[in-house]
Amino acid sequence: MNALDHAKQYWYPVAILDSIPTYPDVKNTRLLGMDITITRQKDGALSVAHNEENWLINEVYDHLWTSPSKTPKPIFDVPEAQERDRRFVPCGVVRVRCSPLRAVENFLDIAHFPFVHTDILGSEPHTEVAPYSVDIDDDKDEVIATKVKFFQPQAAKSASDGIITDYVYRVPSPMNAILYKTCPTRDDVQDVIAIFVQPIDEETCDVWPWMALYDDDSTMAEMIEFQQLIFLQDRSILENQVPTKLPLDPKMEIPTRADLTSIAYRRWLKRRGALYGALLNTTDNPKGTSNSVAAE
Amino acid sequence: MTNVAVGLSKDLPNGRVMRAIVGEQDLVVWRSKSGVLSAWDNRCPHRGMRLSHGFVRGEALACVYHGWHYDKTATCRYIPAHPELEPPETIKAQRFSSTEKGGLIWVSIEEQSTEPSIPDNLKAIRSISFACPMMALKQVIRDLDFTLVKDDNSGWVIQEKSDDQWMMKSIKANISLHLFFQNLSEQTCKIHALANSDCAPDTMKKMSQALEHIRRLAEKHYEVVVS
Repeated sequence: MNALDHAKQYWYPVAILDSIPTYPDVKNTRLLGMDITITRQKDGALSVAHNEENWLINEVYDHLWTSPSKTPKPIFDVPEAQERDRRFVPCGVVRVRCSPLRAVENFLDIAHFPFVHTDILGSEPHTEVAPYSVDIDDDKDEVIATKVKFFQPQAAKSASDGIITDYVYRVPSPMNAILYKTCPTRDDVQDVIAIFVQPIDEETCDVWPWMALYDDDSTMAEMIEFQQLIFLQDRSILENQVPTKLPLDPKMEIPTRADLTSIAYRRWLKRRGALYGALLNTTDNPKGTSNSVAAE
Repeated sequence: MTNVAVGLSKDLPNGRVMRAIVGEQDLVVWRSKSGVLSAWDNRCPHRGMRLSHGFVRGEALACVYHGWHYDKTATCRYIPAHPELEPPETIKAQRFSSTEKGGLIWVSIEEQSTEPSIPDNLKAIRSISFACPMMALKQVIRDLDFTLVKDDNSGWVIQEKSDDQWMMKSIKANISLHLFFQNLSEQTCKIHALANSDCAPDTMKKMSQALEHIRRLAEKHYEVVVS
């Protein structure tokens, strides 16, 4: 199975349900290199079409999802989406000129917080990444990172002081990731933040951040603004990584212990053949081979 | 293409970082706090981030993504995520040879490089970028009306000393303009311009304005050609 065929088996977010235009306006977008049109019918029903052919749709996690496959893999479960006392915040969309896989990998990374999200999600000298655990959950076929801890000056909109934040990360499908983190205002629950990635093509993606929080004070606009700021900071990184695609050959990029989640994610992608947006061999990209000596 | 001028020395103060292109090679060029110049492959070996977005800490260049520090030998010396760890010597960025001569920063991406050939008695006017191919720019300069620089169109000559080094000279007015071309892509290029060290300030200013005029001419000319 080639990379595109593999990618076609999944569900992808293509719009926030509340922002789909009313009939007869439509929204045009792209998915996996294909043009699609999102339409809200007169009776309110939604549809997604590519070349006059209707695709399956799914309305979940405040987004409209679609798949080119007639028999897609089931969409991943986020049980917290059933907890109605949470606030559910679709944060809009950020267009990034990078591989969808690079966007997910960056979301799983904490060591960049002090440098990219300075004085918000991290700050010097609190740069150390303590050992944490990464596993592949064989039942769910997910990458799971647990016992991740990091000092954060302002972990969320609702945080007033620096706190040590605990994180758990899940990667339930190649282009979606979910994190569970310490809720600054309550000890008994965790905030949930996810990124749902719409692969426009192998080197461009639309990132749809989504949150399920316990925060009764901040306004919706404040929470969205906070998350947008974080993602715009990430974008300045993601659009300057070379190569644009995610290299799966360990010789091309040198990891350390802090990168365990990234290492597991890359291996998991390779093993399952999720290669859309990935570089398998250094020969695919001669410019990327310059560091091979350093990795030996 | 052994040594290529990539910028003016005065435009890269101590502690600063810039990006440069030589041929197909993307480079980070930076100067440490004490003034040591380096030119490397513009890519952090950790996650491929362009090092030209990084920042200088003392004698090290730090990547903006995770703060990995590289010393002047391009060897990684500090990984903030593991402050106690001494990074393996094998974590290195790829180095290229860089030097300064005649007020310019020169980089060679070839193994053997010869000393840049440039007179010593020059002073820098400016670097200027052009949104047109180098070929088109050169043609515009060859066809130039020299009344731009001095109200005297006679006696100007262009010496094309090499592909990337030209001298425009007015014997009568005793003015020399030294142009160093740098190709950036098929659509963009740069000129680093210098004058003789005894050049008067108002003549320097006129030459800078003339370069701006050349830029407008060349870009407009190219737009017309393309459309």
